[in-house]
Amino acid sequence: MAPPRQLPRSALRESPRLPADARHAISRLTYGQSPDLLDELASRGTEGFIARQLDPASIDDSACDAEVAEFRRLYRPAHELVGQNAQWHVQNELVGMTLVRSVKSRRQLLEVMTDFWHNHLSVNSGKRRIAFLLPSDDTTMRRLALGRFDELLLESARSPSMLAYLDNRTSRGDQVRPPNENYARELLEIHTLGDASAFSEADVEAVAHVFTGWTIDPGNWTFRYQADWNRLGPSADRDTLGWRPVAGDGSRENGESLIAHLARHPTTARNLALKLCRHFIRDSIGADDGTVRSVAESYLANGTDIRATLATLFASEAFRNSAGARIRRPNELIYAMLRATSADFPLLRENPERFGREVRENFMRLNQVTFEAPSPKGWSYEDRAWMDASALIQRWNLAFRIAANRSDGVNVDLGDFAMEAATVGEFVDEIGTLLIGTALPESERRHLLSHLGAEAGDPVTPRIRLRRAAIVGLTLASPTFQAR
Amino acid sequence: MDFQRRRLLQALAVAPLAASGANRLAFAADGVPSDHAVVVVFLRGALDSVGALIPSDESAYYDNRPGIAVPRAGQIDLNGQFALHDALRPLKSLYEQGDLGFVVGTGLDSASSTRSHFDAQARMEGGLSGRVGAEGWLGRHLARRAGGDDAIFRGVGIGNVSPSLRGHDDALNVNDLSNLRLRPPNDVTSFELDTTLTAMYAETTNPVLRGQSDRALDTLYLSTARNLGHGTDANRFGPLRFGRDMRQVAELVNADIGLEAATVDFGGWDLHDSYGSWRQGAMQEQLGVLADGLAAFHETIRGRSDVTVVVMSEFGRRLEENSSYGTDHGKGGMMMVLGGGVNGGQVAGPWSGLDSLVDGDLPITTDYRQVLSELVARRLGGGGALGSVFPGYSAPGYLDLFV
Repeated sequence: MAPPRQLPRSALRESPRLPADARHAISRLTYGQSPDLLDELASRGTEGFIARQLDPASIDDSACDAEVAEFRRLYRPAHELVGQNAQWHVQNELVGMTLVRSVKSRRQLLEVMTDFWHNHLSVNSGKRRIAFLLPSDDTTMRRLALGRFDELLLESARSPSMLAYLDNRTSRGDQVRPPNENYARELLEIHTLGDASAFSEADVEAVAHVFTGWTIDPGNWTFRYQADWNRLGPSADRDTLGWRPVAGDGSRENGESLIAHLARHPTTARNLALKLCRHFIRDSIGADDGTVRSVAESYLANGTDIRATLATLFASEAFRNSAGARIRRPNELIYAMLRATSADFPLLRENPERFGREVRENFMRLNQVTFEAPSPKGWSYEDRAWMDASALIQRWNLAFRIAANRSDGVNVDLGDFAMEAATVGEFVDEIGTLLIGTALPESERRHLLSHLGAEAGDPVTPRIRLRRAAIVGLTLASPTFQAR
Repeated sequence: MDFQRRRLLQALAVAPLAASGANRLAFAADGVPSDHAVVVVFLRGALDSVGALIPSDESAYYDNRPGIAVPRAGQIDLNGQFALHDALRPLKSLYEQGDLGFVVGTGLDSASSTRSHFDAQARMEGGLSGRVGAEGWLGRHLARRAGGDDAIFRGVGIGNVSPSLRGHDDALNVNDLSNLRLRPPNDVTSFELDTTLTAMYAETTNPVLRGQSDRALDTLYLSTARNLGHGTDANRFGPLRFGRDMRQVAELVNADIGLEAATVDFGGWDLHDSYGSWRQGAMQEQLGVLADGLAAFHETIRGRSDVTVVVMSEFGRRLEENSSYGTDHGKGGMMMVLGGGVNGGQVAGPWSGLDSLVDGDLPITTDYRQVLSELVARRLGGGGALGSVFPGYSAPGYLDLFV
């Protein structure tokens, strides 16, 4: 058992609650308020915070890296993992590792964007062997998550997990039977253009031919270009979405230049801009919205640079005016609760696989297990897909489990936090400041007070202190905490 | 739900010991059975229909699939023309006793047809022609019927609220019925936790959150009072996701708790690769899980005639196998209907034969809405309201799939 963590109680007391724009930036660029962000936002200001998050290399993340290093198995090469044949264990550890990074990394926007791209270029770790291929592909995704989309897309096309998930691994142009169309279709429909009416069946057939021979080396389970499987077929002499081959059969350059072309296609720019705006602003934003258009323009003008694109988005009025407009998805909610309560992971140091298995339970109950999206389209971007009466019950139960430190695989120790508050109002508001950066809105706060059977000015009694876990739980279960 | 009953249920919910006695209390208002229920099993990823219900006497099937055709030894003959894949063996007796029927050549109308999984699913669940609206066909079906205030479990999506239920605002997502409890750990247990939560949510302006806490509270009280989550034999359904999901539905059916529409998603059918042989591999495993889950469900609800299962998928797959020993996206597919009110033991719908493919695909010869319209009219009591369930569509007649 790790020693109890020290919460910056005095800092909480002394520093003013965060202004609304700082809380908004935290709720969108990170997985939620944590005690250290209170100090950072107070000293750096909102603009400075955003600029720093857009430059992850400037942030020392060695403490998080050290925790993640506990997942020793995930650092083994893919072919060793394939040999171990422990798919279930690796799936669990992937859930655990992603949780640790999402909760502990100080490069929060990088984690948010790594998740965004994993969801945009979704693979399912439950399909045969994919769990073994994901650890290294996850590293690549994180390296490029704030880089350039054309590079990210090319790495995705070459990534063993994608080659296995969408079956391009076995697609050949040198056979009587036609190439496998699965990757080609989703590349156009999901990864780039985003609209099945923006391309034809002939385009799918042509793109499928271009990528024949993009496969996996069965020895070391890394990308291999098998030139003799490649045939351009009908793509050789037709215009495919504005692209023509740059070389003949058996040339990898064709696929590479097609990826570069698709990444810069105006329809791709609109698709990515819309997805980013839905994620960071509101799910109901329309494709014709001016902000979406300017984000798409920024993406194209900056050579598919993701940082520049996001900078445009974060500077928009629509972004500034969207506080609380999105519902936290289950994974975002779990990470936010663990960040807010400064949870730590003693079980991780004892047994990374069991840690992964236990934290996985939380995701199971909320129907969103990391890397197990049911289709190549990834998890839904719509708020309402994640909220109904039953989902709310699971969210409430999670809040109380975490508040009472009964959550699977994690340890929450609030020490004597808020126990020195003089009045019931201060007691409730200190908890609010810890968890959301400010006091809960009055429409919610006054029900906490009546739950305690007290007025804001009443002195804190031992009976009130005994109910701290209930107040922490209710704050985590509140409408405010469900939104970001 | 009226205040008195809520307080009574609340008393049960707050005092867990009392819950075990809940079944002995008569809640007449909760026990009102709905007229009829439909369970929609959506096979996401596009079922290879000709590999499941095999046109066994057509050489084109074997010629186009030199690597993956199911040989005669792996087929279970149904009617001399079609045979089941060996993994569907548990369905044979259901077919013979007349509780299971198939419809071949099904799919979207020509204005909606697409090879995109996601567009095809969205259009099929929406039930409109050529576009996707805000509501789903099941949502419109439920909205048209007046629901009582105890109708918490009228529309249930297992695992997620499927788009077909949209339009029914009370649609409930059930993952595991035994989780529909408020379970604060002992150190948090505190009187009126639930009422505090509801009060906190009462004034929220977020449209997605508004109203959910009232529904959550009703759900908690009812599922606690009826001890949901412990009413079926788990072994019969096995440990896999589809079996577990069908078990939830079976329990809701047997609880007579007002279920009218349930949706179950079963993914993993997009077998462009790794299709496998008839003895082992992905297709064989998937079909086995499907057959076992359907048979267990039918047995558990004792084949009652007021519950109908419909199995559907977004489209069929190409006849010719690809270079990965799998199949790519096609057109014409298949539907299955199962239940005591099914006119089973038949393979319905026109069959164009594998020699008259269109662009390599089995053509769509039966609009999926023709099957669903007959279901709504004959099993769900909605004959007069088909125009609101499937606006702009009228069936050219029925296939006599339902009694």
